[in-house]
Amino acid sequence: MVEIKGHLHPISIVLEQIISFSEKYGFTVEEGTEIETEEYNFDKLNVAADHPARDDHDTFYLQDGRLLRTHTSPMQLRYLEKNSPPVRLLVPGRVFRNESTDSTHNHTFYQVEGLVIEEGVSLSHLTTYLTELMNYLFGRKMDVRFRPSYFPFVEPGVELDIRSKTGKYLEVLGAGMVHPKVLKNMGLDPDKYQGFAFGVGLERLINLISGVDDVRQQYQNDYRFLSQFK
Amino acid sequence: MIVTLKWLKEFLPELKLDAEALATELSLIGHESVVIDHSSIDVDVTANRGDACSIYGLARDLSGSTGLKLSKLSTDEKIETDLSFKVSIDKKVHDSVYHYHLYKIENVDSLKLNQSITEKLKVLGLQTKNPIIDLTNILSHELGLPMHAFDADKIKNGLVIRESVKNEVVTLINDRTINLETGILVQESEDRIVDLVGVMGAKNSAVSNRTKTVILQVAVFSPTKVRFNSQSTGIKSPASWRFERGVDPLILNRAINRFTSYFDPNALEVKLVFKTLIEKKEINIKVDRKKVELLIGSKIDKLDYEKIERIGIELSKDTATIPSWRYDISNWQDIAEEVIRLNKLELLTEKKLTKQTVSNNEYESLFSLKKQLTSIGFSEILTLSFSKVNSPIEVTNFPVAPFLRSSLSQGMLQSIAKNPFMNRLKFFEVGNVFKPAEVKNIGFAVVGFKQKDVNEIQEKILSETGLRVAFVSVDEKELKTADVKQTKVFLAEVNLPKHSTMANDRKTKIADFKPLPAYSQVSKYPPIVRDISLLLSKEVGTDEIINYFTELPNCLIVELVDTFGSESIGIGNRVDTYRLIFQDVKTTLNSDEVTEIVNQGLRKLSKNVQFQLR
Repeated sequence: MVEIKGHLHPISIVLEQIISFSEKYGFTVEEGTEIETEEYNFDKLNVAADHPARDDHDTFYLQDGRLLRTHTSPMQLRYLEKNSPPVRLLVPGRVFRNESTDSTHNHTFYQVEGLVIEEGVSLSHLTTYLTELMNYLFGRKMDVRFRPSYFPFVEPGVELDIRSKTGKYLEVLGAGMVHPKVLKNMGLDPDKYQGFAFGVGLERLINLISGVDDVRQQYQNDYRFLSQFK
Repeated sequence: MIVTLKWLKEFLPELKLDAEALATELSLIGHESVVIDHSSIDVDVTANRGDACSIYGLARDLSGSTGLKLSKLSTDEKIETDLSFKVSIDKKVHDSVYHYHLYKIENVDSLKLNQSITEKLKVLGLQTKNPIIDLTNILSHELGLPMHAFDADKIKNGLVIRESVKNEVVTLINDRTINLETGILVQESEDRIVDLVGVMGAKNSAVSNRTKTVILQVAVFSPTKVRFNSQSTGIKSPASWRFERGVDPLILNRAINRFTSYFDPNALEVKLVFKTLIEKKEINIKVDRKKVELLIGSKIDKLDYEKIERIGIELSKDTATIPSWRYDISNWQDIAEEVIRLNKLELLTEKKLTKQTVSNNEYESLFSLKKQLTSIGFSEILTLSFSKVNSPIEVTNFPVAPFLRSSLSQGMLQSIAKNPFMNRLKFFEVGNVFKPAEVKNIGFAVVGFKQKDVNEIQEKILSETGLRVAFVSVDEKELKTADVKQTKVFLAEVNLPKHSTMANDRKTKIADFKPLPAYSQVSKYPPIVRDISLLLSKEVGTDEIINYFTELPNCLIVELVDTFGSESIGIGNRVDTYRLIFQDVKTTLNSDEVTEIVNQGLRKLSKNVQFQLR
């Protein structure tokens, strides 16, 4: 029987791939809201207003003082308000940065947040998990490297690079061990609990896996773009 | 931050790495770097590492990971003291001035440097002004301490460090005149503001080629105060970049010693004319090495802790003493990071999470719904949340489209307008809208179908997914406003209920996983779309035909868009309609050329497959 099929958006496809991989390890999927508060988007995640790290998050503000979330991390806090460890969580969603747009930057993009808080989980678990995820998404064993990096809500912080066919290392995502201040803000004793978190941009993944070189195409919906993905 | 091998070697004389290897080593210890050329690299210092915002700071970090000898800066206090200069620090800002020295340098017009600084100025992209100013710029980059030079004759009766009052004015050395808010940290002399602390000096007291005596400020200020200064005035500088991240309050002696080393010792007349006293506060952190290993998750043997000692962190059995230049270390997790980064993350061993089961009903329902819609020919689109159309929620800082969408319809129309070459489209979008409450909606668009067909499609959606939608035709005027070329456009939109359908579809999806395909660039030149209908025997596979057409030159996409059988065409037959999209990335295709390509293709196909063209 012949079927005339339409196409899922590549964002939905890669999200489904990440989720189905992670479900083997028991990850729950929760969505947060696109509108957030300063408190949950920044303050409780240890991104202080008077620290230069705030400069990486150019923000869209609403008339009533709320903002459009600049990352999916606020949901980490909100989820832990209603759930206790052990926790394995994925938060997919749209995020917004008040940046000028070009082929590699858009004011709107998709992130998937991962969070694991449980006894005995470590930085080594994080790197192992992310390496396996990359191998899965690319469909082959990838040359992956981790570098130390800085995000206010994790300590230690890392970035993951993959090696491209030209030999250059390309940045994929940021991750790290949940910062003790953030654990405290979740109501958890940092001396008893530890966890890891990561955040990956889906447009970035699509760029690296498929070669889509202009992030703005994801929202233009040219049929010649959409129909290449099944 | 630009770093040259030559400059770095002044502090790491045994450095043998080339630019490529240096960039890699720095990247692997937390300072992402790229090669500029064989002699220089560009380092991206993270916002928490004020201590690494200098050649010396990076050299120090490298000595930690590589073991290379660091040429340390001299801490000797060998400068003559004559505490005759008046500085008054307002009580209110006392805590913002961490450490403050002023040095008087006489006869600056006859100063001569004992080495060439042209290369270093070139690295900074600066023109030479005079030895004093040149050196303050160079040392900011070299040591991470921004110094400021005053013309002594312009601040004769001393300095007052205080907060500004609203509407005070200052003209800075970049010629910009700023109207100040309250609370900005400034220096005043002779009833006018002479310095925007930590950011930029004022024109009225700047050093020029006519200056005879300089008052050199070697001082460290609070990061948050300098950041406030910079944010309030909108002025950024290499100085504010460093102060905001945290400058070593104990670097002053080292800094002035380095400064004087650029001159012949006999040729420089310099005196310390003002100083604040500083309490050396020791910050100790309890470090439980077992906890560090649990956090890292891999075995680290005893030798590796030595690396953090090389960068100034004193480690006893269970306590770490933090050096004055590290503003970013305050807990044992920070120490854990120092240990693992200097030893490199490649040391981490494999540790797997346990396998567990979970049900994500809400996500699975939504994904199932999307799959069901694609199985009846709908393609998923994603459109932007910002809109020009007035709605309850307004964004204050996005004038281009200042409202958050309260419906998916505008985005739908814009997406249709993006595809003028498609005479038929079936789109859907799942996205959040703001009414003003944030809710999830699902929107549909069908283009190029008659009302009768649209009704059928509406029924199909209901029977396949349970969603009850009502398509409404979009009027000509609205289509024109949205720049939509097609004429038969129907839209529908409903709030998406939380499903609890079975997720059968999803489980099969997991079995047939394939990585995302390699993408072919969409041409900026318009495509040509041809629909070809073929009467075929039911035995002929669709894939075979599609593969065949895909081989045609300039053919980007081939899709089956319709298929039907009926008694009138014979029971063993069917009519397939294939849509072919042709494009050229370099130019607009000629319609006749495409017709020729299609005809040639059909001629070839007829040699292998029996068909009738409809």
